[in-house]
Amino acid sequence: MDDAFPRPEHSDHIDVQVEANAAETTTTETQPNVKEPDENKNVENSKTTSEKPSSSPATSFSLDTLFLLLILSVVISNPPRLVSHLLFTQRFLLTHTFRASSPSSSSAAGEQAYCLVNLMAVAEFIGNLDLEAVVWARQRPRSNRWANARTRSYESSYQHRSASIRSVLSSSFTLLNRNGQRVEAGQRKNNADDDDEEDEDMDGDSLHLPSQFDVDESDASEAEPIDTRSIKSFESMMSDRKRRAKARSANGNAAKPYPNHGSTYHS
Amino acid sequence: MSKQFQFKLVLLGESAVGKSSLVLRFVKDQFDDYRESTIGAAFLTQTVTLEDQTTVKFEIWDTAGQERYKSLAPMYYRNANCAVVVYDITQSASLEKARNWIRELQRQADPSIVIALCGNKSDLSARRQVSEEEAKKYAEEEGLMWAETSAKTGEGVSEIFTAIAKKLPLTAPPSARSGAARGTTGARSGVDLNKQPAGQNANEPCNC
Repeated sequence: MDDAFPRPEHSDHIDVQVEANAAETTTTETQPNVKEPDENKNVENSKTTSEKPSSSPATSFSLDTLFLLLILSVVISNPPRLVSHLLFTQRFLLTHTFRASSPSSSSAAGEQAYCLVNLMAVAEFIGNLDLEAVVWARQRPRSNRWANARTRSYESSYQHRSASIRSVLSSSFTLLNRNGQRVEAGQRKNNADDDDEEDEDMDGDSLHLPSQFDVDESDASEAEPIDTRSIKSFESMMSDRKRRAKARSANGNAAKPYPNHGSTYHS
Repeated sequence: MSKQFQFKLVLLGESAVGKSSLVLRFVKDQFDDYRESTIGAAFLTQTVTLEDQTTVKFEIWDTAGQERYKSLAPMYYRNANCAVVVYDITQSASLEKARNWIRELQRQADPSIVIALCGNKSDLSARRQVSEEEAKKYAEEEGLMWAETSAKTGEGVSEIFTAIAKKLPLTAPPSARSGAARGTTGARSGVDLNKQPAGQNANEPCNC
């Protein structure tokens, strides 16, 4: 029965409890759930408390919590060429899954797929994160000068910024695009950055293929020539990326700033 | 002879409607095959045995319910065989969100996806804001499965999942069985280094 009930949340709690008993260092947040050391009763007990996720943060370890932690860890660690690695892993996992599709391995594969999708979602979220909005929210006084500098088409998108996040990084970065999902952010980026090219067709805008190499955040800052100069702190945020991008372009390796037009898409 | 099926089930719904609790109740109350995980309640598997000894294994994918992650949801429900859209009967706004999810699923998810609408927290019927009739009528209009559940008391939880297991296309070909959980098409079976690239590009959807 013990092995039959390895619900991770509860087993985690049990582990934490053991550890707390041994070292007395862990927080007391998990204590209410684990009053009874008796295993199954314990699971039963912690279950009822975990139904109210807000009551105790430690009891609910659902994706809401996990996702925030993942975002934070990715932002802090800033792994190089994250998207390239993710895409490679995805391809590997797909092929691997098809080759070894026995029932025993597919369970593990499902979990791996879930992990991968979570990390891809984090990358997607960070990639589409509207850094300007973040900066704007932190520096309200600057927003007027900044907003006036924008053209009319940008202002219209500016009003909808909360509804849809604008891609700060290169649109070639977008994983959703890669998988054929239309992302408004791609269009919006085009609207905002290519004021002169507004009349160009919008059909292919959200469907960019990533450039095969250097699908890296640093390429993206090259594709963002306007905004990075209008906001000082934004520039400082991006300066590291720009430096890397310049080093890259010096090597003749940089991706096209706008790979939007003329790219092909297979579905 | 017993058959085994494996399906991907994705949980959708506003945050704090009890998605995780629902699935914890479901997984806890029945036999769960051995697995180790460090993801917590986010990814769980549960096996349901039907009357005819067919076993249906659910891979349950939790999703982050907050609005700001809404654009990421397609990554989660892609290739899902079934979706459980959860709302909170004590909050009529959560049913509205559930409607949005269902619209999105009908528009963008796999057309054969089985969608179940699930009104959670039925133990709090004293504070009910969504009547059974309203939700049931909506579910019938949209052709969804519908049930009210209580993760707290366990009422209706295993029933709805069992109903989903019964409704899922168990006659699906074996290729779609395990592959459907995450794969794309069977044609894309890896990289053949010996193949001539010219003819291959025409029909293989290589996104690189």
